[in-house]
Amino acid sequence: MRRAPRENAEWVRAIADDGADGEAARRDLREVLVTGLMRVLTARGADEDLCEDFAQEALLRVRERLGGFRGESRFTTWALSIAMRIAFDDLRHKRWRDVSFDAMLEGARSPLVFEPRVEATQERSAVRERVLRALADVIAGKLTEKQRAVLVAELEGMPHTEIAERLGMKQNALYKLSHDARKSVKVHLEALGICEADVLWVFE
Amino acid sequence: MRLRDEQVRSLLNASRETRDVEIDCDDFLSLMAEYAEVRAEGRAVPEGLEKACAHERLCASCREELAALVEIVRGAGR
Repeated sequence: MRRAPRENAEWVRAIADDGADGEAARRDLREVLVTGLMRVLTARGADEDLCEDFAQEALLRVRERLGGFRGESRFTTWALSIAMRIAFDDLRHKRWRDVSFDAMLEGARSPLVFEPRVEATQERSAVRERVLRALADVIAGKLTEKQRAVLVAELEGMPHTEIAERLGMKQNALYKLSHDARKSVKVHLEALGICEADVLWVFE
Repeated sequence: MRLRDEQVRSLLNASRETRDVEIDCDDFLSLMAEYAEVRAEGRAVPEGLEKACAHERLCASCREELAALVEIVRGAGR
């Protein structure tokens, strides 16, 4: 006979349990995780074995972090969120591990140039030119070398986990660096009176 | 270094979305399950999750994970 779905409190108690109850709960949760992972990762090239590995790692992390579950969602959704982080971190790492970070750093040191483009009107060309000059000035003149490197890597699509690893930084420190760089760009554009409407008009 | 127009757009969007106080990817993970259920059920984003909403607009990695989780939650609700 199939058992009734567990409530959150029951999941938390059972997952922490070292006896038979705990074993059954971990088996059930593992099934939930593998099913969820397979649903979204098969199309991304992950097979069942890899999903099983992700689920196993997620189970361990769920147990370690049980005290952090606040009960604001279903327990299984919370466990799946942890599995998503583990799985996507791994897949992103595999996608980026052979990409040269040194080449990106080299790019960050060289002068900034933009894609040439002919605008429909002179007015649009002038606004585009003004926005691009402002961006070039702030990137070259206001950002630190590390901030420029992070910005360039981000614009190339490199995920933060990967940038943090290459720079030997903790992820929250990297986020702060990225935040400060974005803030500098924002402040600089605002100081030059470049408004959102201008930007949307030319670049959206 | 040559920046393509799509990269310029991305930088301008990120600059526009930048707030004085933001959450990072670890903070987002701690809110992701609740936020995914809100999104999957089509509910309005409550005040406590607005910072998750703002982070989602800025972070492609978290956006990717959230989209996958929302898909699973929606699938489980069918």
